[in-house]
Amino acid sequence: MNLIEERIRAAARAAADTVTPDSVPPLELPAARARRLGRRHRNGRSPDATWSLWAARLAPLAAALAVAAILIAVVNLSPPAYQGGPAPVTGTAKPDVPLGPPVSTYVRSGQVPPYFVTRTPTDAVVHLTDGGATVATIRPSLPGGKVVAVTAAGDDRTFVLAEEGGERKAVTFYQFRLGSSGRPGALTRLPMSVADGKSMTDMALSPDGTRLAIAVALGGGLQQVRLYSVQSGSARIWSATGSGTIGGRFPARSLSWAASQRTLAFNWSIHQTETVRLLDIGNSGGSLLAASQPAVMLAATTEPGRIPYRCLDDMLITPNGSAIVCPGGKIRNAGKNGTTTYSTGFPEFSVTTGSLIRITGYWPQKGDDPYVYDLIWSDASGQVLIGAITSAGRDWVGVISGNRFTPLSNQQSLGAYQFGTW
Amino acid sequence: MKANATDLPPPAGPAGVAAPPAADAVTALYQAHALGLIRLAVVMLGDRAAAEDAVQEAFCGLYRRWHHLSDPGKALSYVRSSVINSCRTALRRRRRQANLAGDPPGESAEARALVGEEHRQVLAAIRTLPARQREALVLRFYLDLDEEEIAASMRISRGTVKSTTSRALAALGRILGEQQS
Repeated sequence: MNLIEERIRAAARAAADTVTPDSVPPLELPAARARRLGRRHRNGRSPDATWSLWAARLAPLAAALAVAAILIAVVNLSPPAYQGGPAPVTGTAKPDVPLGPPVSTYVRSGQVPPYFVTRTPTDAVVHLTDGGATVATIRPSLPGGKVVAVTAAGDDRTFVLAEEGGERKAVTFYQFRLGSSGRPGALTRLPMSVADGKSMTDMALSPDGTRLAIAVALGGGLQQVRLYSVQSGSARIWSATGSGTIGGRFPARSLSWAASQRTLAFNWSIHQTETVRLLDIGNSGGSLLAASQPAVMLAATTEPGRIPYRCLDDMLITPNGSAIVCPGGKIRNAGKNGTTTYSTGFPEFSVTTGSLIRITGYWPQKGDDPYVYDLIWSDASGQVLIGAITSAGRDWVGVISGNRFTPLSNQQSLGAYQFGTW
Repeated sequence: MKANATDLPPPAGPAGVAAPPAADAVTALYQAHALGLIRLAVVMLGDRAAAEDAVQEAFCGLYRRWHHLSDPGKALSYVRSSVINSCRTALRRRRRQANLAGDPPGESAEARALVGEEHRQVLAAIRTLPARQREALVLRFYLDLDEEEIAASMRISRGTVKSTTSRALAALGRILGEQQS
């Protein structure tokens, strides 16, 4: 066994299994725990008696503190503060990278779409790209249902949302189109479904909006790419079994269409190596690996020297089908004194040679800052991107062009932008 | 696994709200999740007694603050964060003590006896990583949490979860590679 993630899992399981269910001690609430740990009072008084004595002495102070306590008590309890490393969620009002022009410049010139759709725990919501104002809310059709994914066609106006709901948590799909004002038209239920939300790992609507590709992970190591006709619901299915998976260690954009609609790129992860493969959808289905060709290696944990850039799980194929773009990083310099410097950015690799073409948003790192971690959207040229970075102690979603980054929001929280689909 | 629920009178609930007694609620949560959380702490610490201690402290903290919990549904996330914090403190303390004594920080004799050499090597390598990297790896690959759950447990952003996990894997690969060569 030589695969790091499998070694971590196996080692952690082995350590965990040393704790058997019947050996778990009973819970000790604070008083019993204090007694067992020997926090007894040496003078023989009971804790209650001691408390009474001190309470009388400290009564004036207690009264003053009570006022403060009441003020503090109205604040909801949040999880304990993280104690390790730099404070992560407090940050400044701008990321530590060269900034680009305002968002409005990109929207007015048509370089990025004017609207995007995001999902909340319950709904899909249409927002303005510039400023993030809410345009419309789309509620699931089932009681207790929730929107679990959204995908867009190449016109940036046609969307499909996946709704999980009902007793069996089946996933159903709806198509809608945004009008010129950004308001959605009627929802059209599509004639296909997936048995449960957990098995669906990604979906991608074709550029013309007529086909929906879905990645499904079933039991027994069965992985499938299903290609549905939006009109009829008829499907072609490509399957693979074994230890490989579509997508990486985190949910990510692992399916991406070229504008020609003859090629569907997918991220295939096996033996610590993530490779983008190109699926020729001209055939009628069958073996996923036989019908696809490896194009670009994104990451290889066990052999980091084999690739110029280590990419995270997200990837997009450029609309002209010539290149793969991903969020990644590389070691710039490994010093002899143990200091290592890194850079981060969105490298673009040729699908024919696998070689690096260019890097959009190329930024040296100071420590972990900045760090690109999500690629959400690409224009037709692959040179104007929407992606996510971590910098100055927080996450940002923004437009990347050249080496400049324009945050879509300066708010502390990513809010609607966190799960945006353009 | 039955807690002594009569140790303390339950803290008073919010006015006008008939909340279940904190002791009952915390005890039920303990019964459902203590095994998993002790196992998590054992993976982090390599020491059964310290792991049990971290979990007990976390539940005591939850009990004391139960009626300030805005959403009881988030109690597990809260207590998991507490366990992680306790483990971090314990490891820090252990390192300090080991430095004072001139010994390398290590796992318990019990753990050494029960876990095979290959696994011990991996666990030892994980425990040399910075706290945030170690926790991200364990939450991802042992607990199989997704990035949002890890972000909530560690109180960091999703981006930081991804960058930390990526860095941790690369660092672990280097450490284990060096050990093998």
